[in-house]
Amino acid sequence: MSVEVLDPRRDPEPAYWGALRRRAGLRADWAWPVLAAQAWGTRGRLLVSVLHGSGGPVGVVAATWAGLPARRHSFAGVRGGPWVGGLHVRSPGNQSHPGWWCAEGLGLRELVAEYATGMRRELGRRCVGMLLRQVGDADLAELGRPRVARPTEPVWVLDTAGWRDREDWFRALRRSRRSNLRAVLRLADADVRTWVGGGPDPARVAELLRHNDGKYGGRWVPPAPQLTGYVGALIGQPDVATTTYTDRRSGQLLGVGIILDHPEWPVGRTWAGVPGARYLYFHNYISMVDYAVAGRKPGLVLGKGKAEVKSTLGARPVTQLAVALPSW
Amino acid sequence: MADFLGVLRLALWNAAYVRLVRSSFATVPFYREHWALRGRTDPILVSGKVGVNGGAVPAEMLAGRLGDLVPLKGGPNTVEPLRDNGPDVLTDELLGVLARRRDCGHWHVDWTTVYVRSTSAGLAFSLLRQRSPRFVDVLPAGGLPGQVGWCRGPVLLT
Repeated sequence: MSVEVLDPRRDPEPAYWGALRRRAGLRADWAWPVLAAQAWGTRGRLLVSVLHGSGGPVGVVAATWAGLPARRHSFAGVRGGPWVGGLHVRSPGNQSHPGWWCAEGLGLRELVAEYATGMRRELGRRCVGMLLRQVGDADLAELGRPRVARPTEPVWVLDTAGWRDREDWFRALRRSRRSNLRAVLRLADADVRTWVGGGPDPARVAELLRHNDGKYGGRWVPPAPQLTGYVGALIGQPDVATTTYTDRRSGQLLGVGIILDHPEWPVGRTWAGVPGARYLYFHNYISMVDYAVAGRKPGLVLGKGKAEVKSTLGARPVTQLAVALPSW
Repeated sequence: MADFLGVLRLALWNAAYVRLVRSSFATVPFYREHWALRGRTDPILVSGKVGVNGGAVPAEMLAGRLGDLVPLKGGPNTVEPLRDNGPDVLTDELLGVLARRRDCGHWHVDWTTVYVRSTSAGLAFSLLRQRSPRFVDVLPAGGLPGQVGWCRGPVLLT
């Protein structure tokens, strides 16, 4: 097996990429133009590694190569990398999914071993290990119960199989939540113009997303802003649905929700709204459920955080772990 | 002696500009994206990508995106209203004072605070001292065709 390490900043889209993305069910955050735009806007280098077997690609891993000296206030250098660091393996553009895929017949343990060998060859001894995010219980067992595994925030999912419309969802909710959602619908009908589809101005969307990221920013290393070109590339993908909320009177963009489509489990990647329009946050859940039900999806991934709200919306938590695998 | 000072001044002026370009590429979202995906010249930052108009940007394009011109470290995203005005002062609403006409008749650029280069779309200005919002290679509103000359300092030949 061989490992091909790609830097989306420089490397053109491989000929097999579209077919690999479809086969692996990788969402729009893995589309090459999206990766190419994103890779310039990260503090660590975004590296995409493809594992090739005798018959073609059998695995793929996306990771950020970051370490010391830390970059608090600058993007990754054009060349080189940290003196010493590790690989942060995670899905490039959403926090609900892992940063790897392996074909049937290739176990996660084997994938990780081959990947580690390939990356050691590429990065040398500077790379002291890797951190895998969004590891599920089954993955953990497959990895052979690694020593350093810590639970992180669960991902919330909503089972929508069998629902004909949003009323089926409403019926499953507590009465207070149900009446709250109906009130949200009435308010939104009066105040905002809701539009599902591509087309909003990426600069305005990026502005809203940054405002939102700022609220949840890390204390020591604030999140790198989502660049306008990245947002434009992402919402321009055919398998992305964007819900935009604009004020009926002023035309101001009040909120935006981004759904990354998937044949079975679309994911609500982002919600961002202006302060004072909290009811739109709930309206976005209604839009997402409408989307999933219309597409006859078995479920919808609502992402991390806001556990209390999501449980009242009928979602269930799925355990997630972070696993550190040192090189030695 | 005067020649030596002129050469020194030109070298310092150019060096300050190159530092500004590199720092903006490393820390300011707009320039990171603009020059990474499209490219620029003098200096080229990503091999093979030379951009349009040498990487210069029309002021009109930046007016609604001042948030993108704030470095990652943070800083203001507003422009102070222009106070300095008059027949012998060349100004731009976004960039402020670009040049002043002196007794020699030339439009003199303050070389300690403003850099100017000639591009295919006209003169592009950079503010060397303003950290945020960052203005690098900005084509003033309406465009300003011309060349850069030297008269004991940089001057605009428009």
